[in-house]
Amino acid sequence: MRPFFSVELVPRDPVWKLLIAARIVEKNGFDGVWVSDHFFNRNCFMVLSALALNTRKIFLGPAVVNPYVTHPTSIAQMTATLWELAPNRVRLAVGAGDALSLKQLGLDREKPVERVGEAVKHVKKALTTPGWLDTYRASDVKVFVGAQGRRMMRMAAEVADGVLVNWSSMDKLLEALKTFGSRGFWKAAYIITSVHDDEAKARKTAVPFAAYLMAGVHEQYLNEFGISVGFRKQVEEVLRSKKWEELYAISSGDWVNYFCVWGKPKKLEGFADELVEAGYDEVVFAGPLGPRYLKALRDISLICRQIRKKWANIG
Amino acid sequence: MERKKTVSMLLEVLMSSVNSNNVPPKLGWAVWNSFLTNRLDKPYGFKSLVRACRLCEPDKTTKLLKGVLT
Repeated sequence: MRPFFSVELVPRDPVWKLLIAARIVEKNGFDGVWVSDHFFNRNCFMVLSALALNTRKIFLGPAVVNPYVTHPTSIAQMTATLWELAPNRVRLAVGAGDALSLKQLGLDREKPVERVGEAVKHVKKALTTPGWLDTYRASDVKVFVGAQGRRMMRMAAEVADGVLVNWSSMDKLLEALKTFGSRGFWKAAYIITSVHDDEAKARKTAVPFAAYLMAGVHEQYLNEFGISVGFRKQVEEVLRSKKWEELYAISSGDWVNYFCVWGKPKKLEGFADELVEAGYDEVVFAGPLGPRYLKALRDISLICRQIRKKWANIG
Repeated sequence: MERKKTVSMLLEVLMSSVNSNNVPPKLGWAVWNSFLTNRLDKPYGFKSLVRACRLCEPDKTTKLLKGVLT
């Protein structure tokens, strides 16, 4: 099957800028965009509405909406409305949300696997059952689960149409594939990416994104990576106070490599190719992409074309 | 030709900046409209783009424009 490639847009940027980015993404031959959802950024569904009206082909979806902040019925309602603006181009990802953000809102991430599983079932039912919503029936919307943990992935395989595996470490991404076996549901690797010919610059750009991801992972995975809880607390504190210079000062060491793919375009090409070969249906290039955004987009687009060409020849 | 090259360099500065929230919405939409109609190299579009870049990345923009002019 032809591999699918998409890009994450972060609505920390103004809507006009996201629209420019989306048009360039579309022009460069990507298949879709995922818009991240954090309460402190712009609302992802409102951004997606603007994108829907200003793009023609690419798939659109929020990644990931959590049921702690947004009720599943509202998620379904907004998804159906978005579908009306971009018929047959909408996807949706539901997940447990970023622990650090939920903590800031005073919300407990209680029973995440159960809550997300229930939300997925609820949203799918609302989108497909006649009479649930008085809108167009957006029954072709594929519902994904954003996952890191094994239980979440197993649940995704049972109730969802696909999964966004939120790791940037090859070991973790390959391990995740074993969870799904040969079941034919959509597997997407959601990788934080930073490419540039100058590797040091690529790494520096990646650090804040890698730090956010590290701050949110379960303790069990910190242990697997050999990162202490004390160090995570230190990073969390620096992120909260937005002291970026301090963050760069403590960012030496291998931990950044577990949460981000950074370096020259050739390295990313090898990484993405391995993912497709291993069985991923989609690679989502998330995060900063690189210190020079447009150059990075062009480089990544070229990488995707090379991989597609290779797969077309195999097919 | 020279203007088109400058536009693409300025657009890179704008799209790579982490300070886009410094650009007021009206100016941002002016940049978007000129981008959409492929008129960033025309006087109004170019002026909007330069103003937006100056608000996000003043040093980089000045350096870039000086390099183009000299």
